Amino acid sequence: MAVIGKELLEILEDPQTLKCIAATDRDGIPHISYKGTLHVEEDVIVFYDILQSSQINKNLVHAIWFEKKVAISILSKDRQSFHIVGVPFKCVTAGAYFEKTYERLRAEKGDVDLNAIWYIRPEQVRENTFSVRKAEEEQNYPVLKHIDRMIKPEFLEQ
Amino acid sequence: MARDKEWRKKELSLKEVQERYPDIPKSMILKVDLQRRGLTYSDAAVAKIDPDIHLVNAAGANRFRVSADYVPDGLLMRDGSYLVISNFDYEKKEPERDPYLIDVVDDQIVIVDQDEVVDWIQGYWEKPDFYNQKASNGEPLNTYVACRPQRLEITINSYCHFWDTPGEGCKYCPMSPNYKLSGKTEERYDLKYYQEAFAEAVKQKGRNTIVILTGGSILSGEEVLDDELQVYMDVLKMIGEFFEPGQRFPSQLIATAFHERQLERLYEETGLMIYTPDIEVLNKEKFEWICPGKARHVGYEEWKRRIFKAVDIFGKGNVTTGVVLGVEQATPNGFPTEDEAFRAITEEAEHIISHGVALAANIWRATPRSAFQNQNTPSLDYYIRTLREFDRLQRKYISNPYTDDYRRCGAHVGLDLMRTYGEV
Repeated sequence: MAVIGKELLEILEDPQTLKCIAATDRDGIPHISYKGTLHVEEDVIVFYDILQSSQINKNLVHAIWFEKKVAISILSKDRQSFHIVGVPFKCVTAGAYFEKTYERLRAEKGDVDLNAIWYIRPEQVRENTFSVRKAEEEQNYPVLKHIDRMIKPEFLEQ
Repeated sequence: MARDKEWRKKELSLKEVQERYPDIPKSMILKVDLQRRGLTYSDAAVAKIDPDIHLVNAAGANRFRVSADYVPDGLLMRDGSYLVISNFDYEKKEPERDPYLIDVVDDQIVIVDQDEVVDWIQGYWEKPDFYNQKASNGEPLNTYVACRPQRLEITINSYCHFWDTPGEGCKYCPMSPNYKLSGKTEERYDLKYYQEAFAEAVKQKGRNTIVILTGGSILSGEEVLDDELQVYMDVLKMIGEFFEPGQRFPSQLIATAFHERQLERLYEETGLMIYTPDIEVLNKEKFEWICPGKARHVGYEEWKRRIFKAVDIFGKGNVTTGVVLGVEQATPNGFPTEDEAFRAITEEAEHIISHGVALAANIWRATPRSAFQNQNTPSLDYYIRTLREFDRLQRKYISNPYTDDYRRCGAHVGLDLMRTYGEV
């Protein structure tokens, strides 16, 4: 299981952070959905699905049944981005904890429902911010670029 | 120990069936096999039961069982679905096949077969708040309203009058023998106690998504089934008082097949949403042998016609019918091979599903005190092959089948597959 670092934990707790999850349905069609409630509990990603008929819930059910992976993308208010690959391993739809969460969400958000509480085990976490990815690429694949970027400037000017 | 000690050599194992049908969730195949073979609990698993939290031997839910074992009413699976497992008794001394074991490993509740952990579960069903309260007559409220994790359940009649004529009860069903064994004298209770229990039950926020009414058939009345209709309508009208006037409320009635005049009354005069007249057996000849009371008082073709008529009245997607899957192979008059049974019942299933009626297929267990108690049930492969075909047909014909899903029941696990149907 991949570990979510302190920096990303803080970003996830910021209400201005954008958090979305992508999963495919049984026909392989991807669906992406923004999930403001996505957070981390004991190293596991948790979110609340608050629509009873949501497509992302159907796709997550497909993922938990067939051991498929899902992708999560995080974008902070200062445009730091992170990519997480995870595996849904538990879906809670009933019980005292579910009811307590239902009541809390309704107190916070008004007239919403609670379809399921999803638990996703992160398997891969990496920063996707452009400057970080560019630096990684230059270090790991120094020749993976158009050749004109490597030519001495004087030859380009001729 | 199993009745036939060699049974594992005669059929595909759980793993082999899971490998054979890679498009069916392994967890669903396991759930079918748990219902088919039954389960037992280790001491460690029993120690995980907290009677203040969990549902154990709820009184109102026991019309099909007499066992008073200290075991959970059902399991919470890790995919968020529920498994109804203790609503019927299993043969304990000489079970047809070895049951699974619920055990605890590293503080996690797990499912074990032949000393191998095959999956883990979230836990046991939790008890609703109203179960700790009593009605005005001092009886526990759960005598009148039972529950599953997201549903309320009212069993109106504890006795089925198809059993009034010897030999006419459905051969797989133990309900009326259990009623006689219980020594009860009242088939149903006063309406006010259902009202008291329902009023308390609906106060719990975030728990319930539907109320289900069911019970044994009542044949009396000016016309056959008129009294059964009236009893259900009285309860539905009482429940309707809790909602805005004229509003349909999330509700399901699992009852005998009413004719169109009765159905129109049911629809017009109550807020009922889903109607489920269980046909039980998908073949006329086998139906007449297995359900002789239903055959004599209604008839197979007439039962089907009434189901289709109900679709006209309640709307496509709001009518389902239950079957006891596997019973078509009971001896001596059932289909002699699984291939013959598969061909016959899937053809009939297509006819029914093509009218917009979802099939809620329950896994047949040769239940103690039923006429079929010593029978052998089909292989796991047969159940999965058939449920897979039912699902294909439902995807083909029904665009909006969400009303009788895992949330509302938890017994007919084949309909779990609807959880990934397209957005509705």
